[in-house]
Amino acid sequence: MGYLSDKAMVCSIKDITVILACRDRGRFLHPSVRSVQAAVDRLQQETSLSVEVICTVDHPSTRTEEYLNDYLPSHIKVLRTNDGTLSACKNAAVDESCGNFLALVTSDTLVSSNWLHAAYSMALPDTRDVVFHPATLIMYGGESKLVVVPDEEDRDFCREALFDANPWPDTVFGRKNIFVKQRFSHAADFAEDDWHWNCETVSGGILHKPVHGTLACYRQHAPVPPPTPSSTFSTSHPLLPPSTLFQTSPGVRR
Amino acid sequence: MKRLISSIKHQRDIKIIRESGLFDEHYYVTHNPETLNSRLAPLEHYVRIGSSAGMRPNPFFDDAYYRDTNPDVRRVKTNPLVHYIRFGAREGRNPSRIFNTKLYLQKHPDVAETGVNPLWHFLTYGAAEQRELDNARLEALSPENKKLYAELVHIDPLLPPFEDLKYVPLVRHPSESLAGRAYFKLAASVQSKFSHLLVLQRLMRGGAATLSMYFAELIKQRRGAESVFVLLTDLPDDSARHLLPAGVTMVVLDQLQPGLSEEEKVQVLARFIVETQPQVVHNIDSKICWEAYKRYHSQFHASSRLVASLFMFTYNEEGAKAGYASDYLNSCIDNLDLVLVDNQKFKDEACDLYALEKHNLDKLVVIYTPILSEFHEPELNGATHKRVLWTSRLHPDKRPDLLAEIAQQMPDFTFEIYGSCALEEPELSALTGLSNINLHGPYSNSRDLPREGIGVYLHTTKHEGGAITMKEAIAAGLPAVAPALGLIPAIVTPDTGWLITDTENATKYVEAIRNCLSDPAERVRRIRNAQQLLKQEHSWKNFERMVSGCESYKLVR
Repeated sequence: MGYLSDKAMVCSIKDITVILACRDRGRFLHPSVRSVQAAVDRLQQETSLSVEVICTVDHPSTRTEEYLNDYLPSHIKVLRTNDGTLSACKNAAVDESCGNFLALVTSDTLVSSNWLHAAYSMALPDTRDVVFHPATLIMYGGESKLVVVPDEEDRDFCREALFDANPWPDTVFGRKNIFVKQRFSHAADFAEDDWHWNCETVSGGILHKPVHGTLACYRQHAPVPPPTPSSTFSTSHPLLPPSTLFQTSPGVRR
Repeated sequence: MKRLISSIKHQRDIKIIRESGLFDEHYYVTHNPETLNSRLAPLEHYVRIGSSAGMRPNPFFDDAYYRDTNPDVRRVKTNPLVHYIRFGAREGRNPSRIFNTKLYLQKHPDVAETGVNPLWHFLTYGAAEQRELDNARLEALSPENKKLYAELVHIDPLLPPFEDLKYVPLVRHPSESLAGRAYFKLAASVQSKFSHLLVLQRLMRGGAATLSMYFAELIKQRRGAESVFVLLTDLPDDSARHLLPAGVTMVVLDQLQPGLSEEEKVQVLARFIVETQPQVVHNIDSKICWEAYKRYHSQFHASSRLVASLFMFTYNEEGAKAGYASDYLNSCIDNLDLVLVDNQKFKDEACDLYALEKHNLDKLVVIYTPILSEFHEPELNGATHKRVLWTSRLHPDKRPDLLAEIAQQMPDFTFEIYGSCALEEPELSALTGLSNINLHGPYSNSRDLPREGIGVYLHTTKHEGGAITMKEAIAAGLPAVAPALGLIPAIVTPDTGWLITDTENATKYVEAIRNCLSDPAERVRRIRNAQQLLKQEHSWKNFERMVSGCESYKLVR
C-alpha cells in the first residue's frame, strides 16, 4: 500500500490530530468538513491547543477531487491512499498524524462544535487506556433514531451484546498510541471496520466512554431494507470478521 | 419445625409471586438452563434457590441489587421480589438499576392513576408501547444539546427538526444477548482445534444420524477424535447420542442455551465457523446451516470448504417438491464445494431439474452409506414364516396407509412393526385397528430386531434416500419387497429381491410377498445375491475409498 499527500507532512508535535476519513462522496463531504472545522475553531477560541486536520481518502473520484481542490480549507492536509478500504485510509492517517491525541471522524458524520474540547478535557487527565465517543448519536437520512451511547464502565453494560450490535459510533477520540497499537482492519464481505475495532479494543482492555453533553449526527446513505415478515431469518445481518473478543477458549484461539 | 416454617414461607412466596405476574418463566429458564435439570418447577426453584444465587425472575428485577440497596430487606432475609410486590413498589424502591419506579410513574401518570405495580405494567404493556424508563431522551434533548444541534442544522439542513427527535425511536445498547451468551458457551466447549465441523438438525435414530456418525468415525480414524466437532443446531433431540464415536465432542445448541430463535442460531453458527475456521464444514441436515451457507458462504470460504449432504427430493401434501433439496440446492450449489448424495437417482433428478453445469454436477458425488451390520445366512426354511417385518419411523412419509392396506389384504400374515411413532389419529388407529399388526415401538439398534421366524422384509415409503433400514434387513438375511424409489432400484432387482414399480398399489406388494414365499430356493438365492452386492458396493472400505477421493473433504492431513 502506498499513499500520497498534497503537502509535505513534516511532523511537528500537535496536541490533537483530527482525522477525517472520507468515503468517495464528492460535495457531500462538505457538511462533515464544516462541522469538523467548527469544532476546531471553537477549540482554538477556547484553548491554546494546537490542532492539525488530515482528510484521508482512498481512490478519490473526479468529483471528490474537485471538492477537495475547490472547497476544502487550505490548512487541511489531504492524504490519498490506494488500498481500496476506509480502514487503510484511517491507518495511513494515524501513521502520518502528529497529534498526541487523535480524533477520528468519518465523512458521514457531523460532530457538535464542543466535541474536540470536551473529549480532550476528559481524555487528558485519564491515564488509563481509554477512548471516548459522543454521548448522543442522531441517525438521519433514513429512519431517524436517537442513540444513547453506552459507557463500558456502567455496571449494566453487557459485553456479550457486542455479538449482536456495535455499541459505539466511529467518531472516536483517544491517545495516538491506542490507534497505533490497535489498527483498523477491513475484510472483504464482512461488516464495517468500526464494529470490529470496537471488539478488538474491548478485548484488549481499552475502555470506551461517552463524553456527556456532546453529540454527533450520522447521515445514513443506504436505504433501509424493508422488513421480511414472511421469513424468520434476517437477510441483512452483517457478519464481523474473526475477532479476539470471540476467541475465548484454546480450541478457538488462533 | 424450622423446615416446616420455611416450607410454608416458600409456598406463601410462590403464591404472591405467581399472582403478581412478575415471574417470567421463559426468561428464567432460558437464562438459567441448568434449572431444566432440577426437579423443582421454575418458580419454586427461583424462590428456594435462584433468588439467593442471583438468578433474576425477569429482565428488570435484580435480586442482588435489591438486597444491596435495601439493607432492611437484606436483614430480614425476605425474598426481594416478594418485598417489592408487597411494599417496595409503593414505597418507590427500584427493582434494578435499569428501572426507576418513581420516574416511571412520574413519566406515565396514567399508570400511577390505576395503582398497578409499575414494573408489572412495564413488562405487560409499557415495553410494547415503547414507554420510556428513564430520562435518557430528556438528557439527550437537553437545552445545551439543542443549541449544538441548531449549529449543525445550519451546516446540513437535511437534519430533522429538533422537535421531531422527541418522537423518533430511542436506541440503546442491549442489556443482554442470548445469542452472545450461547456463542461464548459454545466456544468454551471447544477444547482443541478441530478440522471438521459436522452440523445436524438433531441426532435421532434414522438415516441422517447413521450417516453422520459414519463420517465422524471416518474422520476420527484418519485424523483423530479431536478433529471432529458435532453440533446439533435445530432441535434438542439427541436420543441417538449412543451412536457418537468415543472421544468425539458433540454439543446440542438448544441444551446449551434454550430459547434461541432461528435467526439467533444462524448468527451463533456463523460466528462459530468464522472463529474456529474448520477446514471442512459438513451440513448433514440442518436448516440453520443451510441458511448460514446461503448468506455467509463468501465469508466462510476464506478458511473452510463447504460440504452438504442431500438425500432426496421430498414432497408436500399437494405433491410439490419440498425440503432442503428443493429449498437450497439450486440457490447454493454455486457456492458449495461438495454435495454428498447417497443415490444416483437423486443426482440425475437434480441435474434434469436444474440444468446443472458440468462443474456443478461434478460437485454431486454419490457415496453409499455403508452397511456395518453383521451379515447372516438366510434361514433355509424362512419361506414358511408368515411374518412380515417393517422397520422405520412411523411417519406419514413412510406410508402407514399403504402398510395398513397390505396388512388388510393379508389376514393370514402377521406384521411386526418396529420404530418410533410420529403418527396421529386417524392414521394410527388404521394400524392399531388391525389384529394382524403388532406395534413394538422404537428400537435402538438393528441387532434388536427379529431375524429368525420372519418371512419377508417389507418397505413402504413416499420418497427414499439411501434405504438404510432395508439394507440392514438384507444383511440380517431377509428378502426385500420394496418400491422403486431413491436408491432401492440400485439394490433390489429381479435377481436380488422383489421390486415394486407400481409403488402406490398395495396389491402388487401383496403379490410380491406371496411370490417370495412361494419359492424357498428362489428366496434364498435372491437374498444371497443382494448380500453379495451390499458387501461389494456398500462396504465401509468402499465408503472410505469414496470419501478419500473427494479432495474437498480433506481426510488427509
